[in-house]
Amino acid sequence: MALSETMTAVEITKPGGPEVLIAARRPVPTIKDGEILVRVLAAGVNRPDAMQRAGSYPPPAGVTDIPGLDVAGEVVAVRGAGPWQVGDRVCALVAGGGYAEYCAVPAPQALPVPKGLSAIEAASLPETVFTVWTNVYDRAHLKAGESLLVHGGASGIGVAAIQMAKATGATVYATAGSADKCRACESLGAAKAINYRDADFVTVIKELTQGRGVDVVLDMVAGDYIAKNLEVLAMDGRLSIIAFLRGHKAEVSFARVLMKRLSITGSALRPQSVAAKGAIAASLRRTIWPLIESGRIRAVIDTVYPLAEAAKAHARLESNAHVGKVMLEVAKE
Amino acid sequence: MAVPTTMRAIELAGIGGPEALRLTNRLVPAPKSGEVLIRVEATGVNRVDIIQRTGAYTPPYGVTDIPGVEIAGTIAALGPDVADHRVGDRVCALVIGGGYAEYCAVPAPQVLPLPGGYDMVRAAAIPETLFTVWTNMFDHGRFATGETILIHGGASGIGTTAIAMAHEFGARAVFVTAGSAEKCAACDRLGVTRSINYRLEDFVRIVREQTKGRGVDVILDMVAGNYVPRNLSCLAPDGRLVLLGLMSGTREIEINASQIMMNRLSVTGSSLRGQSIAQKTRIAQALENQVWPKLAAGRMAPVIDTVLPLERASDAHRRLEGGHHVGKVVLTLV
Repeated sequence: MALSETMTAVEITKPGGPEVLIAARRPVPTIKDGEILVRVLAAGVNRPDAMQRAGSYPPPAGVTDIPGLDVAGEVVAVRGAGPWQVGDRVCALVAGGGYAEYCAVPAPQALPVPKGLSAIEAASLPETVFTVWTNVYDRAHLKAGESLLVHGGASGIGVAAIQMAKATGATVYATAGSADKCRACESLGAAKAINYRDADFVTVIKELTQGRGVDVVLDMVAGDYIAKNLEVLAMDGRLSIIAFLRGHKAEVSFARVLMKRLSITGSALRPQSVAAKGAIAASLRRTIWPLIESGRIRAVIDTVYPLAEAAKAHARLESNAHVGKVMLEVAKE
Repeated sequence: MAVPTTMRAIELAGIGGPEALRLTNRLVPAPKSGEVLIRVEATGVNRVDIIQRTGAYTPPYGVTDIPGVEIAGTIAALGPDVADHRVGDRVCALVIGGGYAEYCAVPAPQVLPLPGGYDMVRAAAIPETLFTVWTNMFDHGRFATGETILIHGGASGIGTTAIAMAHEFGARAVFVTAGSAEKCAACDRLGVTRSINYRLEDFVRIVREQTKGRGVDVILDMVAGNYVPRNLSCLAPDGRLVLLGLMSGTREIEINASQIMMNRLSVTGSSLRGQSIAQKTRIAQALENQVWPKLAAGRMAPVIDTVLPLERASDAHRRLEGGHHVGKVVLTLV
């Protein structure tokens, strides 16, 4: 297939609100050794995209300024040896460049589109399942028979974490900000979702666990939640921090950390190496992909907007009314 | 071996200073199922003994009130269901309490043979420290060959052992902090890359300079408090901070949690005493396999500061609390 030299992509014209996202013409990316070029059918909208748009989360050095961290589509070019061939349907985690008709992807960061999923469904997965895998499994070592508390249970990360943990044999609790979101969390497999506007999650979790607490907490709230998370963790519990919706500062009782043998950790996906992301992809393909293909874990799509309406997609994400992922459709399948 | 019914032991005559430690007579404990009874010949003195003496730690229900968490001696009797020990074996052990006494009952898996060539004093100086350093450095800190480490309190019993362990297990660089020139010199003699006198120098700045801005992979910290945010500032990406004490107190400390996320750090901690017998058994097996041969070969050795008879337990505590010791204080019972 002959590739055109230019493509439609969404640019951040200046730091600001959703209206600064404008469709423009850009050169089709050239791929380096070890990369594949994907004709993008769908791209996910993630919280870091909104932070990048607002100017508070610049892309890492050497990464395109076009936003977008996960895509699905068709491989149209390959450089160097690797598992992919032109024509393969893949979804992939990228460090940027998803809001475009073509996207360069390091080959190890791509996975096959799970059988039975549309491109939009497949593109909703990478950022969330990579994040949950590396933070909940690699770093916090969640095991079957243990319990997990997920804050922001109705977010893209939340719906992935609830389903992955449930499908791998853990008991899952979630917090969310409305009765509808709580119902959504419970329908995805949470044993109990707590509306944080009505109830103190520490009290509820302690009651539900007979005072024991949970083994792992996945937290994108931080701030004053960190001390509460340490309170709600069981002996040998692990807290994994992935975002800071309520700020970076935390008052921590390290006596509690020591006496309960707790572990506080966390990570951001984007700055990690291709090798690290490739290792996560390999784990996902082995453990989570079969659960997606058997229907135990499904893509939860909130809304789909055409690429040119990326501004509306950001407005939807920032309304915090969504359940699951906000998506961009770049081309029809 | 005939076991008497009563024994000499040190008890706490109330909560207070070193003078609260009093020599008394107690009943010899009977070993329960899975336990051995050890005729104690030497017992190490530890900071946890002082914490217990001052009332900040109360032994859990069912654990003797006699202080002392590490012993060396001879097996005097076996409880039911003990297979792999014999009366007369010369051993050392980690115990949950009761070390300051002529006899002590111990879960059999926590009993290790005397390392080759070791006398009772040296053997009594190693269990608490080695169990603590091993579980924190390897189980919690996941220290690996080729990594770099910062050890606070480098001249303490924990510190000198951690330095030796880091060398033996292939550390690329070992940094320590200590509170005087003499203590720093003692650490330097143990071959550290750079000792830091924390009264004169900022350890964050020195560690960052010495590692070309990268930081260290693992930090062992028994200070906590304001050291925690400073530790976070000198950890390398994927670095691990392990807390094994709270010498600066238990108040809440403000941290910047984005440091943890952006550098993929982990902050963890443990107290040895609260761990299960199963966990202590795993640590004991790792030590016997991986560290005992190094002790027998003289590649690592405890540093003994002072040896005193049991009845001078108060003086032993004073020595430890004075803060001038380098290495271990040990009480003898024979």
